[in-house]
Amino acid sequence: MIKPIPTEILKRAIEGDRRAFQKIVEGHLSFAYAVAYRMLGNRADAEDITQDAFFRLWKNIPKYKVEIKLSTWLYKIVTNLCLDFLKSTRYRERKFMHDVEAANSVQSSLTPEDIMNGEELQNQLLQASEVLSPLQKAVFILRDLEALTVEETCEILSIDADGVKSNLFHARKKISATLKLIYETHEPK
Amino acid sequence: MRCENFEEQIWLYDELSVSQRQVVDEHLKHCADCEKIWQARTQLRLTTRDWKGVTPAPENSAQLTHKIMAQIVVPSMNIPWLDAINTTWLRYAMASLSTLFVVAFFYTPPKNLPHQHLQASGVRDVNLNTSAFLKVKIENRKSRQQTFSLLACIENRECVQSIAKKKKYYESR
Ligand SMILES: [Zn+2]
Repeated sequence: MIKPIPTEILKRAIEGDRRAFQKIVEGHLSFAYAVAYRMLGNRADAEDITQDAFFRLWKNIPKYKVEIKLSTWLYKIVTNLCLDFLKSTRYRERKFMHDVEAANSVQSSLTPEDIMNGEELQNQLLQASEVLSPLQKAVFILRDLEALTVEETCEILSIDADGVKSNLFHARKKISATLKLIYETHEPK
Repeated sequence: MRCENFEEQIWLYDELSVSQRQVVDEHLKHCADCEKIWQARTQLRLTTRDWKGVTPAPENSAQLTHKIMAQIVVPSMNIPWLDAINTTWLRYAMASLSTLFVVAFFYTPPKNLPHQHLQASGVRDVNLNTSAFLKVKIENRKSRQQTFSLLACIENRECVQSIAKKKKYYESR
């Protein structure tokens, strides 16, 4: 859970206090990075997006309205930057190269025990969510992994509740099917 | 309701109302196909819980924070009255004021006014002892006449004329 930022610090940051803003960065860095990494599946890209997101937050913070949670606002910035990135040529080219490499490589010798370790779990998630459209991926991450409400997810992605539910349904179904394939591939012989 | 309608409801079971859930529960009791979907949904929920447990973190949070803060520049303060002051105007005003101070510092008032000397040699004494005051004043005037002052000469028409005469004399030679 993200600790809420004290009103005093938030007020100072809005007035242009750099130190107060640093407190916000420190308090929200992990979750901003986590969302970006789960969306993009790459450390360097996740760091770039995180940096960019906080820069945009700083530039727009004088316009901040207290009606919306600061974390929701930051989620919105991060998620939209990720969605734009996933649609970019740079990402598509990289994904193509990655897929070619994966196809040429020898099948991994992972055991089900390996799948239980943290890093493998993350890779498993990235692999399973590869099959999703950018929007489905965003909805799945926000709703199922970040445990945000439907209302917050609607606000972040600028879609209605039906849109959230429909994308979540397809995302869960596709991920489940992919997971089944992954488990079958790694079944002990 | 047909099975394909239940499929979406099973995958979104947590989003349903209590009454909607009861309808799904009832269908699951009699439908083996939908029960399979239910099992897949349950499996995914367990996996999602594991995924939630491992939050990806930056390799070096302090370094990333530093990188972020390096691009954070404090904007110019929005103070209306400060904006109203034109910087160039302010610079000229400050320059004029400092010139005024320099002039005031070097300014020597004319010495032939008695009250000036009153201040120089003690106000009470001079008021009571006029002759002593006049004596100092006369001596001052004498010493001033002995040294040539170009400034004083410019103020004096005769002095300027005499310099001009001397100049003509030297040029004609
Ligand atoms: Zn059924």
